Amino acid sequence: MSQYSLDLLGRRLTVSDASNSLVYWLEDHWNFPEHAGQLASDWTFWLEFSPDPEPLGLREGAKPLEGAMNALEVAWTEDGSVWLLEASGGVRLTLDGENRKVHLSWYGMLEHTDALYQGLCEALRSSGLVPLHASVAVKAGKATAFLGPSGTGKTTTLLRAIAAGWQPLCEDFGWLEPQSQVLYSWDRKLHLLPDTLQVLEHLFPQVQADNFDGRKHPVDFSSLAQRAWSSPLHTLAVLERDPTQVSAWQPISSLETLVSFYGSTGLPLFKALRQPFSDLSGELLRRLEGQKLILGSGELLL
Amino acid sequence: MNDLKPHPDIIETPLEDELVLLDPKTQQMYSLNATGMLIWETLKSGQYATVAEKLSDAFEVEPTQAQHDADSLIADLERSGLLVRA
Repeated sequence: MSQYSLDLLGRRLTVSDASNSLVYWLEDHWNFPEHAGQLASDWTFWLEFSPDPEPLGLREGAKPLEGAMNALEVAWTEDGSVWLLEASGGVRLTLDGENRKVHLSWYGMLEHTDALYQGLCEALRSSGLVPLHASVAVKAGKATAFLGPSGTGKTTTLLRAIAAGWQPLCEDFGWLEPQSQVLYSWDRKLHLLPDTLQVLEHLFPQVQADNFDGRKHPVDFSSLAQRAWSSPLHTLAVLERDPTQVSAWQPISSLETLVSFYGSTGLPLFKALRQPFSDLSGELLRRLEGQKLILGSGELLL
Repeated sequence: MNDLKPHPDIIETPLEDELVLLDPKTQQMYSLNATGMLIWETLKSGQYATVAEKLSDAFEVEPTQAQHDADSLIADLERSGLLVRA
C-alpha cells in the first residue's frame, strides 16, 4: 500500500495507504484523462482509511440521523462534518474552506462504495463545481441539458437528439464549472433500460448494445455519433411527458426551471454551503436559457 | 407574532422578480412576490413592527389593508414552518 494521487477536474485527490483494490476502483470511476489539464484549482481532497469508525467520532459526535440520500443515511456532527453511512461502512467529510481542503475519512468494506462515491462527489461540489444529473447534447456549439425526474424520458430524448444530428455529451451525469458555464461529461457510456433499448433499436438499428449488466444495457457513445467530452452549457430544457399534448418547445417560468434545476443538482450536504449554492443557482438561471420540452404526440422538433 | 423571524435553515434563491424559499427538510419550495419579499426582508432585519408601514409606503395601500395583508402572509409563512420564534 502506498500514497496515490489523482486529478479530479483540476483538484488533487491524495489517498494515504491506498490498497490495490481501492486504486482500481478510483481509476475505474474517477479517472477521466479526457478532462486532464482543462481546469485548474488549488482545492485538495485527502482520503484516508480508518479500520474503526469510533476514532472518527461516529458514536460520540453524530446526531441522530436527519436524512437520507439514495440508499445512504446522512448525519451531521456539531462541528459541521457530514457522515454518509451505509450498511457496512461510511465516510466522514470535513470541510476546511479557509485552506480549500476536504478531508474524507472512510471505513468499511470496499464492496460498498456508495458512501465513498457520494463523498467524493460532495468534495468536488464543495470546491465550486455543480453536479448535474441530466442527459446533454450539443448543437452548433451550444449544449442543452434535458432535465426531469427519473423515467421522464431524458435518455430517450438524448437518443432522438443524436438521431437528429446533435452531438452527445452526457447520458446521466456531468460537472458544471459555473464561471465558464462549461459542462464536463462524467459518462463513459450510455446505460439504457430495457424499454429505452427499443428506442435505440428503432433509431439506430445497426447499433448493438453491450450485454445486460443486471440493470441496464451499456452502449458506446462512439457507436451513435462522435461524442463531445465538454461544452458550454446554454439551455436547460425541462422535460414534461404528456401524451395529451403535441410535442413542442414551450416557454417556462424561472420558478419551474429552478425546481427542475434543484432536482438535477440536489443540495450541498455541508449546510454552510447551501445558501451560497442557492445564490449561485439564481445567478446561473439568469445566464442560462430555460425551455420546456413537451414529450407528447407527433414529431419531436429537435 | 412580533417575535417571529425566518427559520435559519431556509434557503433563499433570488430570481428576477421573485424570491424562492426552500425548506431542505421537507424539500418544499415557496415563491414570494414583491410584497412577500418586502415582508420577508423586514422580518429578517428583526423589524416586525414596521412591516405594515413599509408595505403601505411601498405599494401605496391603506395602513389597515397593509396590516391585514402582512398578518395574513406572516401567518401562512409560520404555518409552513418558514418562520420561528426569535
